[in-house]
Amino acid sequence: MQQTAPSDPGLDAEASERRRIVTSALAELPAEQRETLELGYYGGLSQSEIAERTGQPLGTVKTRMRLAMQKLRSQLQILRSEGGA
Amino acid sequence: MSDGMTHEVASEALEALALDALDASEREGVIAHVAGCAECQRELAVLESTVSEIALAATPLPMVPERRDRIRARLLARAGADRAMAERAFADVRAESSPSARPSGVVPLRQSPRRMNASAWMAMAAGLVAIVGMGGFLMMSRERDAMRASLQAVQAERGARVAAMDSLRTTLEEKDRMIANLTGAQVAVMTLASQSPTSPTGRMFWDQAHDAWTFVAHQVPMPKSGRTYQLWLVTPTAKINAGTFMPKSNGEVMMQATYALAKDSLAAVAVTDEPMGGSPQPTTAPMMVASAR
Repeated sequence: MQQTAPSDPGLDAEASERRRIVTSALAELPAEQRETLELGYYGGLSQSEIAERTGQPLGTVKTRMRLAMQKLRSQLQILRSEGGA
Repeated sequence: MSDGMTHEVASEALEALALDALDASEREGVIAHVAGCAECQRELAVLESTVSEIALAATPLPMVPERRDRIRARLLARAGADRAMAERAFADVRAESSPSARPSGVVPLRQSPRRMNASAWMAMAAGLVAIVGMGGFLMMSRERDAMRASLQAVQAERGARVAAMDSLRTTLEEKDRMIANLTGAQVAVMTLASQSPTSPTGRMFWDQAHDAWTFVAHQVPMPKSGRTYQLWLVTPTAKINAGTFMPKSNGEVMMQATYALAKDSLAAVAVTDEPMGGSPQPTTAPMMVASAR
């Protein structure tokens, strides 16, 4: 039988807040950048594979991925500062 | 390996590296650069922290086999590359910890003897490539050697055929010449009589047009040990040595000689038994003789 760690209300609240911040940051990304990011992170695809999958030039995929990461990084910093995280 | 990747190029690929979305060849070059670039290492650490945050927004999805295998492969590749990068990053530390660079009295950290550094992995990979390449080379070498052997065999066979043809041509020419020597219009034939109990018989064909002499004999016994037969052209003034001969095991004799002699000067043809190597003049009575007149 699988055992689970006992729930900590404080940790659960922190995790929920962090998830909200990241989700918001991702939502701020342009659709094509978010798609590129998700295909790379969740899909486990390389940039070449993403280019092949989406039909976009490899250079475009690289640019989108870089911009997505930079914006996500900035958004997370902003949201953390706003939320005191 | 792209050890020469510039900082600008490598830094532009840090986001993709943090996402583990670089292609293998590019990833290796970027990692090699990061290993020696403190600025990129700091930037990469921040980006990896950002990437780790993305997981928080993830909605659990069923893991289909294709996606699971793809991610597993990438994780394995990433783990190997990260280990290589770590090895490179600590390479200098190891060098400084070497006995020659270490101050006396300092106890070095123990290194796992089983762990191979990146250079060793690359060397092993290069070795594997070399082995595969060597296998191909050996295969090509064997094919080349086999073709060369076949070519040599063909050339040898062709050479043998040419030699056989030359031999046949020579034999044919000899036969033609012999026929001419035996049947020509100016051929004189002399029959040699014998007083031996074994009754050898012989004929001398003198082709006066070509100064060619052909001696044919039958039932000639083998001479005693250390002895041979010698043919003489007898003229009124001299006994001319025409050569020595030994009969075949069946008693057959056939010898040819070329000697210019005036038509009327030949008195007789004789064969004597002489010591091996022949004699300047006959030393025994003729065993076979024919008169030319």
